[in-house]
Amino acid sequence: MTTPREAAVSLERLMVRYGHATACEDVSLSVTRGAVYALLGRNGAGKSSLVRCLLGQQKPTAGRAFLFGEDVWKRRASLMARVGVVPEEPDAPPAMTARQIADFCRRLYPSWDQAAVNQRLERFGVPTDVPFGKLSKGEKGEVMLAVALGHEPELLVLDDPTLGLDVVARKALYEELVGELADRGTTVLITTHDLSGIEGIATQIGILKDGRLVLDEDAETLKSRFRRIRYGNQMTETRSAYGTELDVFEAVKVKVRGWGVDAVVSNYDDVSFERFRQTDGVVDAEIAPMSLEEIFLAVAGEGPAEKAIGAQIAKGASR
Amino acid sequence: MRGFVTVARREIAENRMALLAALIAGMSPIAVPIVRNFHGAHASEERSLVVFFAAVTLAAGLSIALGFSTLSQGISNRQIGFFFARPLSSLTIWAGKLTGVAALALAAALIATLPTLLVNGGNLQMPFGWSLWLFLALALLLIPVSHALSVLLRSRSALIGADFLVFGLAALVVALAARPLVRAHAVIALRWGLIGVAVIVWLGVLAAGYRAVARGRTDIRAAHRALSPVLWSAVLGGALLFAGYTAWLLAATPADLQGAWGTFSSQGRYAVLSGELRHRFDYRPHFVVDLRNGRFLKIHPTGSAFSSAAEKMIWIDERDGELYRLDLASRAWPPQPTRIILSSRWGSLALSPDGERVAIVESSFGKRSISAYEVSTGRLLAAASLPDKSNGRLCFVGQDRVRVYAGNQFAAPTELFSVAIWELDIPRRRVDRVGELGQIRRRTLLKVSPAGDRLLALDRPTGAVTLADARSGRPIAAFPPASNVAKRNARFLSDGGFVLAEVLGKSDARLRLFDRDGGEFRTIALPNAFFAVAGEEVAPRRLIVVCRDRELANWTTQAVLLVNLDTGEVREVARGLHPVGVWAEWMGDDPSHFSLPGSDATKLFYAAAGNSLVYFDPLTGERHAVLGPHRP
Repeated sequence: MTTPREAAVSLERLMVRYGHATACEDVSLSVTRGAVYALLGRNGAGKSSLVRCLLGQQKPTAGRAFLFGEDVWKRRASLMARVGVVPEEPDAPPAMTARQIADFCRRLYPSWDQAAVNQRLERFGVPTDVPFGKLSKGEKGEVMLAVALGHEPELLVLDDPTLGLDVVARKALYEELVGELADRGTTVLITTHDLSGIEGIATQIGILKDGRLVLDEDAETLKSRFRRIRYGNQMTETRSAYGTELDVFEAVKVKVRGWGVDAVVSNYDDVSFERFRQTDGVVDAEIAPMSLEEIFLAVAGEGPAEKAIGAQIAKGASR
Repeated sequence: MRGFVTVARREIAENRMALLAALIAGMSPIAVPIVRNFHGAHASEERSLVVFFAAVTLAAGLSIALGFSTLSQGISNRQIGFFFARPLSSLTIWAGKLTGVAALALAAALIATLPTLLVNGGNLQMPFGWSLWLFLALALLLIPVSHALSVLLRSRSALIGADFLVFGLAALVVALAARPLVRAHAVIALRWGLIGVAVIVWLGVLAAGYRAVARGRTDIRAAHRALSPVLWSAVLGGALLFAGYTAWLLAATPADLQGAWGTFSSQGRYAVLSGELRHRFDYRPHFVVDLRNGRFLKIHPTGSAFSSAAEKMIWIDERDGELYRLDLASRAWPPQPTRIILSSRWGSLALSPDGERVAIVESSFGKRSISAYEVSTGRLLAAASLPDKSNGRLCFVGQDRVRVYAGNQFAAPTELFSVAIWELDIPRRRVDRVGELGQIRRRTLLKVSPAGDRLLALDRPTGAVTLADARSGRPIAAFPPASNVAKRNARFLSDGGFVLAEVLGKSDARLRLFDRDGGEFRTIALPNAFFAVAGEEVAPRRLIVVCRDRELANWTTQAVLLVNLDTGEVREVARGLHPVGVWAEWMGDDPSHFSLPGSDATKLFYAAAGNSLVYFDPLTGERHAVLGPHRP
């Protein structure tokens, strides 16, 4: 893991609790400078709590959050000059127009590119003289993005920015993001449900499940080690046990279907697969690469109980 | 600073409609006099009154409403995250928003006064001379209070139960601590104490409100958790400090007295002293003090009396109206309740020479009555109503009779009226009008001779003196105002005779000695005196007289003269002293009080140096401090 000083974002054993309910537990991660970190998780997985802690807006119950090597809870005000934020719920004062919001922010940052903000707003087609509260959800998000990029931040934090956006707005947002990355190499931390949208951009992936970070990896590595394996499972005279054929892999998900077994493995490599194919009773084995969405579904799509039951069924059916 | 101004400006802009509302509200003071058909100065006064209340109400209303919503609502719905996502410190956000609210509330109040200012030609007459600025400032103080309260309520946390428990506890502590001050009528001391508590609590609320924003940020429950400890500390700390303050006030001793005055037992050993206490505002308890050893008891009397022959005293406690007694000679001094409770908590009282009986004149529902009780048992011995509605000065004549001199306490200073003389016969349980003393004024001083058979009436403004029979009021001798006498006072002597001290013209005085029937037998000249007052006998036939040799001199430089009444010899023995008996007589309403010649009571003086009470024997020159800035 990158040390806090080198990383743009670093979390150390972060825990957030609300009374007896745990939102995040023992979350440690690190985002290197220039990376695009996609933090994925189902609703209620603890993403927003984690982002609030990351921005110094909420004190974690335990653990610490660092931005650019500095404790964000203690140094929030100065750190925010280097960070742009697009919150999940656009939180600008409803009575302010986009122009007023931009003007308000302009006074607070040491450097501010008003022309760039105006251009973005124009590009998005957001009316600049309509109160923020009267804008559509997409327009609000676009205003927040335009303002978040106004001071050319080193780190951009987007908390589910595409939530509730239509296809066009989503596309505009990603284009802006890609443009920003291409121009200045801004570090981005994004939480989202829009896995297809982020797939081409993210360089690091983290998956939160039930408040725990169950996956934190470079995107390419992640995709290379996850595979879907489908095979038929036949009885033979020499076969002594069933359900053990997948032991050469770490099976994340196993489903028994009429034609055979459909499994997702998280440590695929060609040598192991060859050995797997040679297993007695395994027939017509084939592999398929997985999209980010499929990986996410495999990792976070089921609860632990469901997964265990699935595995049991797979073994039982093979017998 | 830039961030602070930006946030404050934003807050004002956010609620700018309040300014328009203020302008509309400012029209009502102009409309009210028109509707009520007032003109001229009356209309101007009416406008000022209405605009005062409109401006203060507006400022207070906006302070409460915006204080309630401006920060805590944002914390509660996380909208304040917009500000926390900027390079703004928590202090800047908190101070900027609250300052914006304060500026808006103030501006709204001032805008509301504008139309009236224009119509009144720049003149605003505030009701009762109140300061509009002061009230506006007080209204603005509500902002942090409203903010803190809002955090408590919006969090919907169970912690609020603890908050209100602490508030209740603190209120209980303050109420219990304030009770003795209320009962002692120490209004100023109480007011300053409560102002102190309010300041501490307000500062605590301010700090707690800031902490809620700085620590809570976008989490209202965390904000509440951050707020409560500071609030509890401030509220409980303020309450405990107030309790400490009142405990310190109540722990006053006679050593804290500054320029004490009081009444003294006829032997002079005991005194009931009161006066201004060092650093204790208007808290003025009375102290029963044993002047020989400094032992004291703090009491709160509306009236007290010593027995002339025994070492006993009584007093009416102003807090419950009960009569308490104290055996001064006993080892301990626990106040002993007598179970005699006055309905009015206020009355004139006298104690029999042996201290066993008490007579009380009190009024209830406009009816005046006299009662006599046995002190040790509280048993009522006799009671009767007094037809006079006037105040009574009373004294025991022997053990079984109580005499009441009832005059008109409400008469004008120059009005002449009669004093009715009543006697309560305790064994026979009846009251009779036994005489009348005519043609006296309200400020007339009555003195009964040691034997109880003669009465001296001194009209203080004119100096007229009348010697009368103490029971019937029949005049025996009269000394009307004389053109050559500028001032006069009178005093009985231990042999039943009396003395008049007269200031003649501007620079000479004299003592005139009389027998018990008013026959003059000697005059002693007191040269070079602009002021002369006869004091007490420090030994039989040895009288103290205080004189001032300059017209504008006061008692701090006056001379104490020792006069031999037999030989007429006059000798200056001290300066800057004033006999306590003279002062007690001037202030007191006990006509029968008489200090025994040669007793300690005749040798007690107020000393100008160090505001102390000193024992001074003019015969031997022995002098020592009894009570003063330092403990006796």
